[in-house]
Amino acid sequence: MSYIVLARKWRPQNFDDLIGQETVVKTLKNALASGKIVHAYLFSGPRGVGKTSAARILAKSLNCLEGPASEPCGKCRHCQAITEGSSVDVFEIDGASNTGVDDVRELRESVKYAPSSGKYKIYIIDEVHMLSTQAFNALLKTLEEPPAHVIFIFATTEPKKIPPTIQSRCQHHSFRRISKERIKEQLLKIVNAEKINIEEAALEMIARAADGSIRDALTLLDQASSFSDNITAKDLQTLLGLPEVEIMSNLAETILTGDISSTLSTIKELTDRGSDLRSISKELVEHFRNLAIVKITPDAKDILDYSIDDIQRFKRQVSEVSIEELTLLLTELLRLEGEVRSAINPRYTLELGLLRTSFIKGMTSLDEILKMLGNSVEHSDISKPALTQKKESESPSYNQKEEGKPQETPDKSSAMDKEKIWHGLIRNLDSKEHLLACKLAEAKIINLTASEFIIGFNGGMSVLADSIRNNSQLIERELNNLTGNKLRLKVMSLAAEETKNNTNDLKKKILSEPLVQDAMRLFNSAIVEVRSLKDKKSE
Amino acid sequence: MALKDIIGQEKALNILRGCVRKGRIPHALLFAGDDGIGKKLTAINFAKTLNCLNVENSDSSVKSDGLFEETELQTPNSKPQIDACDQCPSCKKIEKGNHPDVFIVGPEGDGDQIKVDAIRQLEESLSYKPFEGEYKIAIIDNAEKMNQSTANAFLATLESPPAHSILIMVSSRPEMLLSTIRSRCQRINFSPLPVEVMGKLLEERLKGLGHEQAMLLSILSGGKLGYALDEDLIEARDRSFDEFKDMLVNPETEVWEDKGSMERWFDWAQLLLRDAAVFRATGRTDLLINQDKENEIKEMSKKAALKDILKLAGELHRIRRLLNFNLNKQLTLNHTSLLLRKTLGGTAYKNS
Repeated sequence: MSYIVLARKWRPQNFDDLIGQETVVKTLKNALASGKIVHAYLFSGPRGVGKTSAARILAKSLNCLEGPASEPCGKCRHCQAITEGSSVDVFEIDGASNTGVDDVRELRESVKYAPSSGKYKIYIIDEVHMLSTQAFNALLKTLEEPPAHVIFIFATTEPKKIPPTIQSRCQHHSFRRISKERIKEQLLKIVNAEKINIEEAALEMIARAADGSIRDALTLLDQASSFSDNITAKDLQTLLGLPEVEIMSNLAETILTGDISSTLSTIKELTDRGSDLRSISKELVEHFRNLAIVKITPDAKDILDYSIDDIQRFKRQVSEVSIEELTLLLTELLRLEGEVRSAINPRYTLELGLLRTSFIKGMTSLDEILKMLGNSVEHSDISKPALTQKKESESPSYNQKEEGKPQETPDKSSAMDKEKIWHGLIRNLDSKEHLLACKLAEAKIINLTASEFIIGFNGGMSVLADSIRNNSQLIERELNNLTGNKLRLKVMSLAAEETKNNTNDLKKKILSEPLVQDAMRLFNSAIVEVRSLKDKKSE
Repeated sequence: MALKDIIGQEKALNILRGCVRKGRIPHALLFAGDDGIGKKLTAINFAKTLNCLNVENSDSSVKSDGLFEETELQTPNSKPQIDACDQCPSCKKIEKGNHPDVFIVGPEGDGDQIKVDAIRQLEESLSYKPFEGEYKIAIIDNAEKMNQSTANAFLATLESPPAHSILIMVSSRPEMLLSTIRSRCQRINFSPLPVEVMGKLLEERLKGLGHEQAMLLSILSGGKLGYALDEDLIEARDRSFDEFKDMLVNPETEVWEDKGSMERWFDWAQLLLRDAAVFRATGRTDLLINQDKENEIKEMSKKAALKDILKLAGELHRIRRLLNFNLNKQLTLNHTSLLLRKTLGGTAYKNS
């Protein structure tokens, strides 16, 4: 008799053996105990977590001579027949080999007849996602109202491919990935029963490499035990084709420090030894993911499947690196991993990609840039007020007037911002004289003194000035209401040239700003256009 | 030829021999690794070993303690390793490809796919008892070429094949297989050959090849023996490099004959740019692949900043991928040579 692999030998035979699927198991058991058995089940989940096994156990429970019970007895002839796959009432159909509509029609024919010995006729359709659309549709009627003795169990890794009309007719149970701890627990049990000598660290590696699937774990264990009587972590490393931890750590270190020369030397060394660069780039991504997680959260232990020692090691490695840099590196490496995987010559692709990452090291983090900017802002703080003062004194004629006027009630109007008054005015007018309000919105506020509110129109907009003047009484009344002061509205037309000159002046001033100069140097740029904020508003 | 003639895959062979020794031969194996490093060869010879008439296959009295000791302990006096005899009728039949119990399935027909019919046929043949050998062995070459329905249809057989059958999937792109397939197989990784080992081997096999040349060939092939033996890599490289240089000076030259030569050109161009970039970044010559072209590479790397070389390499890589979608040859040539001259053309181009 040929050898039976562990994954088949240790296929769970009752619900309690099914590890890591507590929710599903509990639901099914309760349903069986209370007799609430539906006629169609859909089991979905990743590979190797127990879907097919659960389907078989459910079939056993249903047809068990002592059932339907929440656990199959495993001893009666029905249970044994199902375990052997020879039961006449349980049909295990490979959905991927019987995909056509004809297969479903055949199935519908046989559904009609009563079971020959058990209570139920059970159809387990594995890989059900491979059925054709027609096949699914042909199944709909039967699935909705099958004969009382028929139960369907569908198992699939890709529930998305099942039409919604099928899904809604089934009780859907999602199987989950199995946690590393549970896999390890189960492996320990099997290792003891099978008398396999294996190091704790090696078991740990198997559990991690299994990536949530117990079948993957058992396949690996099988393989490991077939070439060695004493399985060590080193054996496992060879088996999985993993590079040594130290090498990965070194490689990451040189990438982090931007020491491209050493990085390339390591790659050369690895290739000379005949290592698989594809798995190395995959490991590299994983390593940087760990680093990023360690950097960003204090509870890294809960997220990562690594020992405290390892996490401490990661922490030491990232202490000097900013999170921005790590994120950039991780992004770049992720992209690189995809490229390397499909590359014709992985070595060159990997090396070119790593050269690219060496530029990340030279980048300055956002924080630092902000700090730099912050410094230069402080520099310019001195010159900034000067600039605004100058701006205000750009129209000296008004200033003279301002100085000439006695300041009657300075507290009230200066307390309120002139902009605020202006917007309030426009808002109030808007309800009464919409057109006028629109025209006013085009104006520029030039100055507000104790007795005068001076506005101006520049260039082409000066045509509006006349109509404002005609309505000045109305506006003044509103202004009065708003501020409580008697203010006179004065409308001026600003010559177009004046504004142009202003921009030229502005440009000169802006160019002499240290902040602007810094920015221009930093980005290696030139100033194309200077636009005053006020101009922009009026556009 | 037998398992002992397979070079550089000791790890894989040790695992396989371990399985045989313990009589725990898994029913589904996945041989994964680059093209041209001996996966299929190993599969065929493993089949020979399993069905060999002269071999005491399962000898559980021999104990092994791990992968490494085994080869080290190998002395002339010790028990010979498990292998095929290559003399018996069974071995000879397998070598010739007409053993009734060994099946090799590979992609065929238009789409270069493994079709579902081929797998169905295989499943049927497997369902009978072996005619002469102990096992029925199916080798699925280029298993990633199974299309969706084939792969899914194969799942059931792969999980629990008929007794006495062993399925060996061979793939250079194992990640393209369904995860459900991978999880059902015992994966055996084949690694590229170490440079030294392969260099030595090439020196012996190819007469008239100097040590330097053999090493160069070994590096150029990326550890793929099959690749190094099949083609004249050095000549191909020189031709592509010449074309590369020609394109820099002479934009009108016709360099590519067909799609195949385009693809090869881009692969070689990547290597050249890799060397230029590495030299530009590190200034070390020992990291170069094309050691013999040192001067040319130095010259070239002077012409552009590292950033631009990498950009060019990235751009060429992108075009290389697009080649799968039927690019127009002439337009690609114009675009590529424009890119080359922009980055590496130096001042002569910028002035004109």
